[in-house]
Amino acid sequence: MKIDIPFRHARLAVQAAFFAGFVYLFLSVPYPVAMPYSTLPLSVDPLAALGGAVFSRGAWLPALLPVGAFLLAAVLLGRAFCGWACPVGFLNDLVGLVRRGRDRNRYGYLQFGVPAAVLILSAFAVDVLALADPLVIFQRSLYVLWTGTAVPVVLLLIVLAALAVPRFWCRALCPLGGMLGVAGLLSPFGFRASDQCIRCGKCRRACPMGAIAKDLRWDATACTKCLECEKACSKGAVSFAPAAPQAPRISPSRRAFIAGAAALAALFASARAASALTGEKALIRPPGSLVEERFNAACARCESCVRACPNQVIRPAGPDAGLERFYTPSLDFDKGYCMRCGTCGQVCPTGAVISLPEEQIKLGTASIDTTLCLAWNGVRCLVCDEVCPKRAIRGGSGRMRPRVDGDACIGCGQCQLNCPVEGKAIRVSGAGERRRS
Amino acid sequence: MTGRWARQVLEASMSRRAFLKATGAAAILAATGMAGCTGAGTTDTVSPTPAPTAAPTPVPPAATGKLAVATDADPARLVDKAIDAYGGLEGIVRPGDNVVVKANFSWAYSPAQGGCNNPGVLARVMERCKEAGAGSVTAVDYTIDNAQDCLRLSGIRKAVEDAGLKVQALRSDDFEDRADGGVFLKSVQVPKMLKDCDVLVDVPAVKSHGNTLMTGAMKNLMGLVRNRGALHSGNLDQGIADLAALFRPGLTIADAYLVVRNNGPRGSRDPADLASPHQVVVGDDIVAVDAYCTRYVGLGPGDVEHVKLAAQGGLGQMDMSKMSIITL
Repeated sequence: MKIDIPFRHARLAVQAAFFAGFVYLFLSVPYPVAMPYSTLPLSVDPLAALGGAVFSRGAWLPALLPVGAFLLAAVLLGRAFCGWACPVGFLNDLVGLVRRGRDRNRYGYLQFGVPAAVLILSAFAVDVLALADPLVIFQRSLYVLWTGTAVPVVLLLIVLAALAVPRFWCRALCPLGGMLGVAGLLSPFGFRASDQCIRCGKCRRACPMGAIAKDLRWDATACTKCLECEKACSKGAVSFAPAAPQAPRISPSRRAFIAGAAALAALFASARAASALTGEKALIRPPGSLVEERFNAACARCESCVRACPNQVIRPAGPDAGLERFYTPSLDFDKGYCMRCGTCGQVCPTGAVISLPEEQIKLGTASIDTTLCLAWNGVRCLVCDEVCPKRAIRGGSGRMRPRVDGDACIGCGQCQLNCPVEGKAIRVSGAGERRRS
Repeated sequence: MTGRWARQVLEASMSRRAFLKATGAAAILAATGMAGCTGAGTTDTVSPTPAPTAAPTPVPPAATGKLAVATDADPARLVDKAIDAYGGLEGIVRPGDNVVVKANFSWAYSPAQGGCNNPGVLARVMERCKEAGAGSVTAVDYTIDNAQDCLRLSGIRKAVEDAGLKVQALRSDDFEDRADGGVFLKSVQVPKMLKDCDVLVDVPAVKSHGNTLMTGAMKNLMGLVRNRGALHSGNLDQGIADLAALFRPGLTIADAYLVVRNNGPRGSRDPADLASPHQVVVGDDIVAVDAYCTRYVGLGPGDVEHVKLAAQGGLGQMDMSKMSIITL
């Protein structure tokens, strides 16, 4: 299985194509959403599905099909996704082109210790997956870069780490990679060195994942099938020809337990800290959202709904909403209104938001500040009445004493958006909002 | 390249104002009541109760007060009848012209619910402009409901694109600070695309309106202004008359195919709110067209404040007895 085309370039081209695909799919979500393409990147993500499974009681279960297909592919090909498709892996490899670090350690104890901690923790409290899922990190980074609203700190740290240790994120921390690696234990395509092997160690030095040990023992949970080893071998001894999978050698080391315990403690502490830092600010969530506590746990902060909202009324919450709710979606009626189209629920990968029929939606209730309202002060404005889709503004025409009928109002925010008064004389609060429990 | 309408109307009204501002003549003209006869604009301040002498720019000499009104249940035939009775579009649309149609597709409602132009009426008006030799014909609006929903539900995108013509939902960054807005607005933000416009055709959907009682041709022009919220903060009726003076469309074709008689300007799911006169009104005098259209919402010309203000400002004719009305 010796192929002469320049493998690194072929692989970089494939990675670049996937990278472009991820970027395009995220930035170009059309309205109405083109299913299943628009949501493809996160709909295959087992970590997002896991988060959702814990928190949203299976409302999204049919959506597990792509996840299953993705895991099946991992069973067949191991972590080929990491080596050939993952956008964060691609960025790591780009760093590798600039500077090739020499660290050959596997750091497997981190990779299995940390996700174990994440899993344990996500059964209880804050969704830490949001911090650790590379696809979510990538989407959020794209969002902040695209809108120019922030610096993608986490992605930057991941890339910087690759300067010191090649693909440090991928080999030591990435929980998605770890999950795929475990599935890949069953893969028939494993590293083999034939009789031609002279034990020169070139393959080991070429491996960017630390998957090949000094004694040429190979770690299926690390290998991304990038085939750098095969290319590096001057004797043509390395092959990935299909064979019966090697028996999994899972020997959870003491280091893995220690790393896991430490991560658990750290995450637990930071989760407590984040909860404690939750701001008092009331947020209006997208229609079909879970109740606040469960919402914060289920939301991956992937910005899918923020990006897809055709009216751009959904915005990431700022730091004033508290650390725990930083970058969760909230509706800003100074920027847009909600037309109950359900797009946010369609693109949400975790079931924190689902699509509801329009008649079940109530986001909150508008109320008028009669001291600010132009009509109450003699100016015949009444824009709120004009734009209200539910005719919930009463007492407007002629009498100029507009009031909100709280039962008719669904909190869509059209009135607030169009109110010409600086500081808005009509505002939507979460009063009477309908949420999933 | 600057379009004919942009040169003759939009820029002219600005340069007149710039001149008056520079010479301080505006105030003098206004004070002496001469504004109406010189084509002068207005004072430069936001005044909640405008001086009656601060009149909009008078009607350009082309306005004839001639109206053509047709009735037909088939939208395309309806438009053809009315335009033919009016005398065709020759002399209004010239070969190669860039025609901008200010349509109304501001609301996400179906054609049967009203709120927007009837798609067949709008598309046929645009086709007639094309047949008169226009190089391009584009329908525009700055929608209130989500633009994609408006275009889809109203059937307008399909009808216009099936006719091989363009429809553009303006976005907030499609506007620029360009002109003084008249009595009320220190400035208005108008669509950038208007600077290439040779002919502006105003195609309102006639409806009732909670505030101004009727929305017709003049009110329709609010969809060419980004900062229209500011109009509501003051005297909306005067603001609308000011916009009519600023934009002075070359032709107005009021769409009264389906009229939202009550609870406008949104569309309505309640048939009791709707009426189907199946008519369009064609004219080059925007005030005359609006004055005529008041009947569709059960009013008379004198009942609608912005029609009165525009007529008082010399912008057009609201006296039915002084119009020549061809009815088919």
